[in-house]
Amino acid sequence: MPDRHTGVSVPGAADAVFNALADPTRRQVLQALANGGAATATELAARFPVSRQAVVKHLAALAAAHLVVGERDGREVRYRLTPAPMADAVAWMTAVGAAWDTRLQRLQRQLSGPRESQAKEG
Amino acid sequence: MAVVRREVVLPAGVDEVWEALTDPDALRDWFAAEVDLDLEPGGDARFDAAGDHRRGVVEEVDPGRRLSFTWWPVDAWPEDEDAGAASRVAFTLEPVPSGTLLTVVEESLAGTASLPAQASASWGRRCAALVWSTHARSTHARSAVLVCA
Repeated sequence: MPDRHTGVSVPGAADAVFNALADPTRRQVLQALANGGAATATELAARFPVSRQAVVKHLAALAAAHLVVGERDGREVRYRLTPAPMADAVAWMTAVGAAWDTRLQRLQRQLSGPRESQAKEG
Repeated sequence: MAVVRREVVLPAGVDEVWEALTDPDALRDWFAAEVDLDLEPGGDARFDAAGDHRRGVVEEVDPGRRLSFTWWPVDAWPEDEDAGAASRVAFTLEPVPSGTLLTVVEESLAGTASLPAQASASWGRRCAALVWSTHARSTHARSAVLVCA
């Protein structure tokens, strides 16, 4: 039986990323960090119509997905985006996944229709 | 390291699916590219579509069961290869009652995935059956670089 798994399957990690990205406020927090650089939860809360507590929860979800990292700065924690490779990997998976979805749909249609081989054998 | 996995049950036997994966006339339709595979380990692989040209190396060839190759983008002219963006594609075929279960796994071989980030446009898009691999496949990365050298 061929080994189907060419990479370690870590469903938790993928779920965490898509959970993180599913919420519009979390996407906006990521955008704010991308545009403005590192920020504390308090600084971010000032920009969004949500409480600081909500921002802290959003940042925790983003950190669990390895999209942001918090670094202690004195008594505060400053959050910043993790290095580009993480975001790049998500973008890569999105693009490559979509490409295979398209190809496999076409392949399925191609193999569902009348086939030349049947005509030849007939 | 990023990995994408898809599975589909195709209404055809493994021989017919294998032909669809390897015959240029069949590939031209569903792969939407001119594809030419030297079907032996180490064989050349060429993929040409408008605006999307790739070269690669065939790895495993097990007719009716498994086909894999590495590939990377090239500019059509001159052939300027971006080995940093190499990835490995593996097809696995398995007979099932209604036809063939085809599994495709594509894993990035780059140290970091080198396609440009699509930023907020792609974030939030629904993606099914994603696999996130954190293992560094350093041996594959080395072999991809050697092939390009």
